[in-house]
Amino acid sequence: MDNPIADGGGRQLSGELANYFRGRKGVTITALVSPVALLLLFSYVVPVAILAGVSFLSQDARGAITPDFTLGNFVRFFSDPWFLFTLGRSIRIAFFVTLMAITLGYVAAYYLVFKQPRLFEFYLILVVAPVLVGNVVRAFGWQMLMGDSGLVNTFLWKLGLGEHTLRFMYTETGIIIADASTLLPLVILILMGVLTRIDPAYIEAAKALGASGRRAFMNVTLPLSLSGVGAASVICFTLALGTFEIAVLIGGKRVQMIAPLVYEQITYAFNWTMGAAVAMVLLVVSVVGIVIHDIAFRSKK
Amino acid sequence: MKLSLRLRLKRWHYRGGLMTIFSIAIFIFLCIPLIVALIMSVNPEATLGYPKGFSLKWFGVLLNDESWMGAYRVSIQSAFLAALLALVNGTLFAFANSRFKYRLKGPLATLALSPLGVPGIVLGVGLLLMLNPLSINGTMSALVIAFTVITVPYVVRTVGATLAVYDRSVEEAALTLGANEIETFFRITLPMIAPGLLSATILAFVFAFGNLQVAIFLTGIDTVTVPVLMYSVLEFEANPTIAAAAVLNIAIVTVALVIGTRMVGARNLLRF
Repeated sequence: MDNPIADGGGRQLSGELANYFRGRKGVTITALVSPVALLLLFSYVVPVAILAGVSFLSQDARGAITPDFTLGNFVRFFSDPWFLFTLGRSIRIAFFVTLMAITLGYVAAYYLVFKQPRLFEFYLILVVAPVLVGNVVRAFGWQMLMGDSGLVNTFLWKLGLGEHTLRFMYTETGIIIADASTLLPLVILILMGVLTRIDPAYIEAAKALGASGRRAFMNVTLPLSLSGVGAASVICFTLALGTFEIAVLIGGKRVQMIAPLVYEQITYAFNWTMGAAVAMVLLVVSVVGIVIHDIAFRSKK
Repeated sequence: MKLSLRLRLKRWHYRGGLMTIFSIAIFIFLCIPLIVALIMSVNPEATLGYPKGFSLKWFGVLLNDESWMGAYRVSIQSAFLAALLALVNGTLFAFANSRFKYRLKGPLATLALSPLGVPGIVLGVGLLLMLNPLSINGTMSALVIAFTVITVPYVVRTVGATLAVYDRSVEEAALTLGANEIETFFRITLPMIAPGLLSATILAFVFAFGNLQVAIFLTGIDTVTVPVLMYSVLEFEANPTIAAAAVLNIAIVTVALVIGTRMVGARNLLRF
């Protein structure tokens, strides 16, 4: 009754359809898979391919893209000190963000998985809610906290420490702190998955054989979770490299990162081919990170 | 006395007291920007700063502002349509992958999850370069297509995980009792994986709603989304309305989370 297909003609139709598909496995699979396959092809694979293509083209004086193959954009990227510096800075920031997020994330994930706090579900929501609210809102919050007359400095001032204004806005430190907070939830969720899969019997066995809690952690839990820590690091690093909202709203023009550079090239400089080339550099560095991790992980197995 | 204090400290430490405090500090560190937005939104004055009083007037300003309300309409419509498209197509895909073996299965499954690892900016520029010559850039369709691509991985992953732990014996019973495959799918499989479908829809909606990196390249004058409007306000003329908008976003997400956790539990919604 709640299902139209179950009634009368509907039932007959579904029977005929089922009969049709039963003998044709290939048709069935194609029908089920092709919507997503076509979607990915035409709005993911093709756009990225076009992006790659455009990065090898140039623009004429009026800004129209000319169909002449050139390496000019990449030559410019790798010979321009400002572009190179921006890439280097993005990699440096991503490294420290990853370090901070993994360290803090490991503690939080360990706590949630092994200490089984009574408020587990509440904490889980606290971890996930910021992700769901989105990066713009979070970047806005951090901007309000970090300004020279922001909440942190107002608080210090009220405590009588007013002469030490902490500089977060337009600094790499500010970006690293805000970005680590932005990426931490994902790291915590990945590490929770890793720690949940460790058989507690191993840890119990180590303790039964006389290992202290710390020793059991160092010799059993930590080694067993290292591959997961590696995976989480790579994902965190890749996402940190693509930081946009935090980079723009905390770093501003003074601390440029690579994703805002892409946006700037396209939207303000109207240099589409250069923007595409910078985006390609960002994509390639991200993919290289994933591949390196994959190889390292496979060779361990 | 000294010894007993040491013993008590030791017992506290053994129970993970230090770790508890440290972890709670981390959870606060995650949520602090949201708490700040809540505090800022009740400022009666016209500048963004620590409130010297309490007033809800900026919420009134927000709700009567045509450009903000237009952005909420655009965002909710496009995110909802995209979530629906991602749900239907992603579920069929995940179902096929859990039941059948075919030649391109491995590569396709990897491809379907890979948008998660591609920086949003890269996909945004790519879509802009493709859609601009077709002159559908800046339309609702452009947003819906883009949001569907970025949310399909969440549906494939969540529904795939649900199907992986799903007990097929009930399905076999239905087939044995004479139901055909399509009836079985709609009357047995779908109701049994409904919690997974609900989580997938909520996640897809929320991620499409909050997206900036892709949307910023694809919005037109009539299709400004909430994150894009927030971004431009923050870049040019920040005022307390934005704090009120941030709080409204937090409220929307909280409602989605509450509905989700009531219906399937936090562990299932977030797959733990």
